[in-house]
Amino acid sequence: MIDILFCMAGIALGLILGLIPGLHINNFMPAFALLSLTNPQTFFLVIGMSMSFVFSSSFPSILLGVPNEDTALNILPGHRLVLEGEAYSAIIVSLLSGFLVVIFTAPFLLLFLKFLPLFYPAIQELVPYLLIALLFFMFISDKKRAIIVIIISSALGLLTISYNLLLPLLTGFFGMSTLIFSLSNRTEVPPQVMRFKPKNSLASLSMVSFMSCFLSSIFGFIPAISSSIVSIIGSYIRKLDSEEFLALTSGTNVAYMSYSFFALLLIQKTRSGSAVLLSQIFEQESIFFVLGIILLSSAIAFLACMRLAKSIVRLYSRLNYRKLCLFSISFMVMINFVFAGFFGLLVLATATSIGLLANLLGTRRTSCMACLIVPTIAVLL
Amino acid sequence: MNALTVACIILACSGLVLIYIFSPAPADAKSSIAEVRRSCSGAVDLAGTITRLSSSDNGLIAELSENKSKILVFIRDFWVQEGDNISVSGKANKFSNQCWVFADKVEFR
Repeated sequence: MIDILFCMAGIALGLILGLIPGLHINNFMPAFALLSLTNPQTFFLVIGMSMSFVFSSSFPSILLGVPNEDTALNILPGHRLVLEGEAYSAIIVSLLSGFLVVIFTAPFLLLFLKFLPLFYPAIQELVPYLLIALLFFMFISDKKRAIIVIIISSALGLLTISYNLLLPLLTGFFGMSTLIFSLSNRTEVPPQVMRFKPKNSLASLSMVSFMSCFLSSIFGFIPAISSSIVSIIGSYIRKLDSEEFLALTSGTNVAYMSYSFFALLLIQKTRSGSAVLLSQIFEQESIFFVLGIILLSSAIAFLACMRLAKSIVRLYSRLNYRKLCLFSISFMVMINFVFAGFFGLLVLATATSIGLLANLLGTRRTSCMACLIVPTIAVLL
Repeated sequence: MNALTVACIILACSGLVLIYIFSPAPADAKSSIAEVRRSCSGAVDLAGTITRLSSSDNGLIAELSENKSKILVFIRDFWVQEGDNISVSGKANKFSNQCWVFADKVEFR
């Protein structure tokens, strides 16, 4: 019973941390290592917190355009839907796809148990060639001038590969540049529709969620392949509108977090900050015990976020968009300075100018992801 | 291409140059054998190839050398061989005109 209380505490903490723009639970993990808890208590606390965090962190990325390391790609479709007055639907789609992914996770787990140890080495070998193909496809499917963005982003990625600077990189490419562009164009935000009115059927969203679950099951266990890269791969497999792309990125984040715990238990690899913490106390816990905590905490976090969504969007729609943009920009600069210092600010400024460049050239902003893809290829080859 | 686009390209490229110039040394960088030998005190984190190996009653003594700099690493509870490429964390101390590293953690690279 006391373990369930730890789960609840973790869920509450994850929800709060996710709602604060720019924060990531990884920044707080070292503090949890200092607590003297039993193994099941730590598992309940950490998994509860991680799962609720991935659900609630979609709010600031969609509404304010302030991402953390995982939610950067949510900004592009999220912001587009906010400008169409569909912020509420965007958040519900994001939450729903995350929850569908958790449901699909259970059958996928049975596949992992049987095949992951067999296929893991082969998949690992193939990944760099697949990424080269992805990079090539990114180029040929976009305007020719996208090559400028791809080259500069790749150079930035290679220069910063040795440092943990995902936050300033992704904030610059997708967050800051979007808000600066909106400010300079004097974008007006229409009144938000407070009804869930999805453009796609539930079947279509389920299909996208299944795809994110499937792709994450292939790449989620490979080192250096982030959830953003998997979302980009997905967006090239099937033509997606803003809503579906949002469902794909949100679903992939949830799948990545869940699979990071399975990877720890099945192949003893750590793929998230939460898994790193659990790896220090891990003593052959049952995978079904972990699956149980994931299902429980995701269900509670999903319901809590669904309940919060309306009031948060209502509050958001009362605020002045221009002031909100300025607040978000200042907040992003501050958060990046706190976590990455002056060097991080330099990377943030460079990444922002590349994001703006992609906008001005009229190319897809996802070309900026070359900054992760090219260094990943360099590491894996 | 308009002036704003060109300005953005120049800004991005200037940023790349500044990042290249001001990149700090990576936090996980290992010290070179020459650096460890020079200071030879306190906690050290280094990597190298074992050029000579001998055993004592309490453990193994591995010699790591690089460009005429040589240090001796005292290793307990870990089996290594000559030619192994290892990374070592431990404490360095000068003893009998030699730089000794008493390894707390040894890993193969």
